[in-house]
Amino acid sequence: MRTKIMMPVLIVCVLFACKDQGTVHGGQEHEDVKSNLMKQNFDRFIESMNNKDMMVFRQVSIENCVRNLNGITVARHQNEMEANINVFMNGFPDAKITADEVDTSDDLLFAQWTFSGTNTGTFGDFPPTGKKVKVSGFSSVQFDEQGKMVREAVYYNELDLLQQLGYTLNPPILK
Amino acid sequence: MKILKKLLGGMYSQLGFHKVLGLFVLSLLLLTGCKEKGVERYATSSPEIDAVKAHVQAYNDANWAAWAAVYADTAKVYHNTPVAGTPAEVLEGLKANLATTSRYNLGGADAFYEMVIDDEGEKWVNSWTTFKGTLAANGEEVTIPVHLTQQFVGDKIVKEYAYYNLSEFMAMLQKIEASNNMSTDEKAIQATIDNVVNAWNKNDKTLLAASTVKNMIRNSNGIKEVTNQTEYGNFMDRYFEAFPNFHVTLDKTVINGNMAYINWSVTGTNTGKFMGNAPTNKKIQTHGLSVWKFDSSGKATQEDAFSDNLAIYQQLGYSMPAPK
Repeated sequence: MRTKIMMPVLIVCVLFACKDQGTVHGGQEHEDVKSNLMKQNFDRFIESMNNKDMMVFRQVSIENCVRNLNGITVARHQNEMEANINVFMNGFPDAKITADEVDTSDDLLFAQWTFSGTNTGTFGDFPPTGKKVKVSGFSSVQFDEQGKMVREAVYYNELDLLQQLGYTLNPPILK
Repeated sequence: MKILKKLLGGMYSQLGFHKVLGLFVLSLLLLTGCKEKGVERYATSSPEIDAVKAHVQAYNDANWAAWAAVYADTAKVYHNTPVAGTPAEVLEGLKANLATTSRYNLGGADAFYEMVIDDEGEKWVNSWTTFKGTLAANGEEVTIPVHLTQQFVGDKIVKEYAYYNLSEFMAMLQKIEASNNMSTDEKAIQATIDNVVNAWNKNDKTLLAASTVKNMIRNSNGIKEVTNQTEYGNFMDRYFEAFPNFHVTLDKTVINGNMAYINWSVTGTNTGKFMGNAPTNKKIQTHGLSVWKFDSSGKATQEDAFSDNLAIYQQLGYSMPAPK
């Protein structure tokens, strides 16, 4: 009789213990899942640029995705962001971006990347030079709760890129 | 008499001296009457203004009984919101904010008070004052302009609207809270970051040396530029020579383990030689991101900075013609 009473109590206790354990580890697990999802979606974003398939970019970002380039907002929508990316993709049809170091913290992903390619297409307003370039840059990317890209802040040295294309810097003529 | 004759001309000759004088005195009385009515509608001194000043003094003295006494029992108070509160409810919020300060003062040398009586005969005292407070946690000072408009019935405030921007104050409190929640390692890293920023803004090599390891590295956009403290100091010198007022501000800092991701902005005026070129006297502002790495004692071992140098040169008037 005593055993019969004790068994349900024991089961309830075990169930509660399991539940509590789940809660304790849930936070960290949730963070890991979120971090992995952010990394996966960032990889897909890089992949979409390398494969010139911007549909994938649209799947991993929100519609009003924002892009900052060296502190200046250049896009506030997926369409604008795609247009901004296409400037580089058109200028360097063989462009390849590799993410060298990736880290996450809360809803942010930090990635140091390398961009390499040959300038065989029109780059912005400039005709092709046929020259190869390789530049390092950094992206700080914010994600929403669903793991979609909300904002990408890109930092890179445009001077270095243009100098590799053969552009030279001329000091201003001072009176 | 001559002046009167000249002023009134034809009227003087038609009505005669006494009648004209009578009309003149009457006009003067009417004018004075109107003027007195104007004084009643606008004043910079009145018992109500004195009551507001006493109210401010009670606030500065934290004499909350005196502070509350000036309100009518049914007073409605609106502080930065269209939703009415009672004085007691508003006081609770004020006290919570003031509890974070070591000292504070409302008023200031430029404080201005006025009273107006509107078309419906309502008496309103408007005041423009300045709140200055010192945060107890870190000694930082905050200055907030405050505008209040208070309606009086008798000697009591029945309605009060107050407008003041607390965003800077709240940001400072959040910074303190974030700092309190930091682990010991994070605090050490944050202290190093603060020191490096101060070292940059004062071109202080001693502070830089105390915050970094001897063989610290700086990579600029993926290219190794600095391999020790001396070279880092020389790198700082290059900027200070060109921009003697060079100033760094941190826009966002994320500390993650032994790394910190820092979004920064720099400003300066090119009054010295830059990269061998003559000063342009132009101002620059640019933004970048640095990844800092720290050792177990919290000293910086490496900075990987990413920013656009073209933006700086373009602001200085440099051009970049296309290659031929």
